[in-house]
Amino acid sequence: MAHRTSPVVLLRRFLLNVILRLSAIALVACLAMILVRYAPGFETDDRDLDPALGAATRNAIHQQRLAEGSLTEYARKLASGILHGDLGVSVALGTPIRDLIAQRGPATLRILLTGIALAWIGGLAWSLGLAICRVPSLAGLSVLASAFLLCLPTAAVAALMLNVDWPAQMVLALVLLPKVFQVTRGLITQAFEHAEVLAGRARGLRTTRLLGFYVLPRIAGPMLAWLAATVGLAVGAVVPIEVICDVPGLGQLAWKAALARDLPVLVVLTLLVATLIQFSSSASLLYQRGPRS
Amino acid sequence: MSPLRACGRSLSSGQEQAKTPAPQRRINRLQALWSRPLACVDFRHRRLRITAIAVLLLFAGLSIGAMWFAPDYATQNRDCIQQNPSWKYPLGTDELGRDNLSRLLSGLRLSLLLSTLAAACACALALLFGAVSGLAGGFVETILLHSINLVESVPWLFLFLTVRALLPLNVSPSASIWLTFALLAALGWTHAARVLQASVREIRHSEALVYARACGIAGWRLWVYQALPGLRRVSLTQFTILIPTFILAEAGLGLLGLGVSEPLPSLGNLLRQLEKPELVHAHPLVLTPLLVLLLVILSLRTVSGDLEVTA
Repeated sequence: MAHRTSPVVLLRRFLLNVILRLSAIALVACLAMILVRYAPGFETDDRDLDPALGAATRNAIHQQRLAEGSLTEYARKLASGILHGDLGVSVALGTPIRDLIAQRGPATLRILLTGIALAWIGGLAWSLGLAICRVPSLAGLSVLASAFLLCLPTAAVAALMLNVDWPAQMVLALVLLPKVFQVTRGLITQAFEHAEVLAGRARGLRTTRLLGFYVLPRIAGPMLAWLAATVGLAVGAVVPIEVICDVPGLGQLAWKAALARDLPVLVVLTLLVATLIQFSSSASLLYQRGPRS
Repeated sequence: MSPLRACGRSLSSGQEQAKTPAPQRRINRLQALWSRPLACVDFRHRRLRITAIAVLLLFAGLSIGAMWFAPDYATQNRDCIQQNPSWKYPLGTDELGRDNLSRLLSGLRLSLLLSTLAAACACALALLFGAVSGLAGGFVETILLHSINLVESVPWLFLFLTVRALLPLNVSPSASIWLTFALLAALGWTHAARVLQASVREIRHSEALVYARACGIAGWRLWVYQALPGLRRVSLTQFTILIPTFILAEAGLGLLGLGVSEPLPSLGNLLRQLEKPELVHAHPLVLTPLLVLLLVILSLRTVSGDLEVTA
C-alpha cells in the first residue's frame, strides 16, 4: 500500500527547503561581494590608462572608488535596495539596476527558454529516433557527432555559428543538444535493459508501444531532474553566446559590468543567477525525495 | 555483438553468399563497409584509447619540438601579412605577419602544460577537501558539502569571468597565463571534491578498512596505507577529466579576450580569428586551431573515459 505523507510534514519540508535555498542565496551574495571587493584589480580603474589624467586626479579616483567599495556600506545599500525594489544603481551606467534587468531580461529569458526547449526537443527526438530505428551506423554517427560537439567550447560554437548567421537561441540549443542527447540516450538504453521492458519485447510488443507505455514513464522523473540541471548549464553558456552574438541581454550586461568593475551590477546578477539555479534545482530534489515519501 | 558485426561475419561465410543474389550481396557489402567503423564507436574500446594516447603524444611532441623548429611565435613580418600557406609558413601568417604554425604549436604547448598543472593543483585541493569531509563525517561533512553546493550554485564560467575581469589592468602577458590557470584551479575543484568525498566515505565504511582495524592497524597508518591507495584511481580519473575541462575553459575565455594576453599565444587567443566571418571565408586555415583543439579534447576525454557513450 502506498504510504501517504501528511500535509503538515509536506509543508514543513517545503518551508525548510525554501529557508535553506534563501540562506544559500544570501550566502552567495555575501561571497560575491567579498570576492569582488577583495579582487586584486578592484582598486584599478579603466581611467588609469588615460594619459590625460594627472597623478592627483588618479589618486582622487582611487579614493572615491575605495569609499564606494566599503563592504559593510555596500551590503547595507544592497539590502535597502532590495527592500525598496530598485536593487541599487549601476556605477558604470548610472542607471537603476532594476531598469537594466527589465530592459535586458526579456532577451535572455527568450534565449534561455527557446534554447532549452529546442535542445530538449531535439535531444529527445534524436534519442527516441535511434531507439526506434535501431540502426547501429546511425547510432555510431550520433555518438561521434555528440562527442565532437561536447569537445568544443561554447564561445567557439557561437563564433562558428556567427559565420552562418544562426540566432543566439539556436546556438544555445546546439551547445546543450549533445549533453541532452547523451543523458536521454543513457536513460533510454538503461530503461530498455529493465526486466519489464525485456519481457515486453520477448512477447513481441512494438518498440513505439514499449517506449510509450514502459520506457518514457520510467525515465520521466530523471529527465525532469536533468531538465533542472540544464538550466544551470544554459545560464553558464548564455554569457559567451550573448557576448559573441552581440545580444543585449543579461549575459552581456554581466560581461560589461565585469569589465567596468561595476560591483553593484555584478552582485545583483550573481544573486539573480543563484536564485534561478537554486529554485530550478529544487525540482531535482523533489524527484529525489519523491520515491522515499 | 552488434547485429551489423554479426551481419559482416555471416557475409563472409560462403554458404550464405551463395544464397544471396549478386546485387543484394553488393548492397550488403557496401552497407557493412559504411556501418562497420561507425557501429564500433565505443569510447571504452582499448584500441580507440591507444589511438587517443598516440594523438596526444604526437601533439605533445610537436608542441615541444616547436621550441626548436618554429620558435618565432612573436616575430612580426610586415611584408607577409595574412599570407597563404607556403614552405616558409606552412599554415600562413596572421594579420600582424606572425607565423600561424609557430603560434599554434606554442599555444598548444602552453595550454597542455598549464592545464595539466592546474588540474594537478585542483585535484590536490579536491583530495584535501574530500578527505577531510569524508574522514570527519557528521557536522564537518555537512558543512563542507554545503559549501561545495554553494560554490556550484553559481555557474562556473560566470564566476570565472567575474574574477578574471577583476584582475589588475596592467597584468603582464606571462603573469596573465599563471593567473588564468591558477584561477581555473582555484574554482574548478568542486566537482572532483564531491566525487572524492563520496569515495572516501565509501572506503571508510568498506570491509577492507574494518578488517584492517580488526588487525590492529589504526591512526595515520590506516589512512595512508589502507585508504589512500583506494583513492589513487579516482583521483587519477578526476585529474584526467579536469585537464580537458581547463583547456576548454581557457579557450572560451581567450575567445572572449579574458584569457592569456597577447603577444603570448594560446588556443583561446588563436580562436579569436573565428569571430571574423570574412577572414574565415577567405582563409579557411584559420579553422586549424579549432580542429587541433577538437582532436586534443576528444583524445583527452577518450583517455579519461569521459565520453563513455556507446553506439
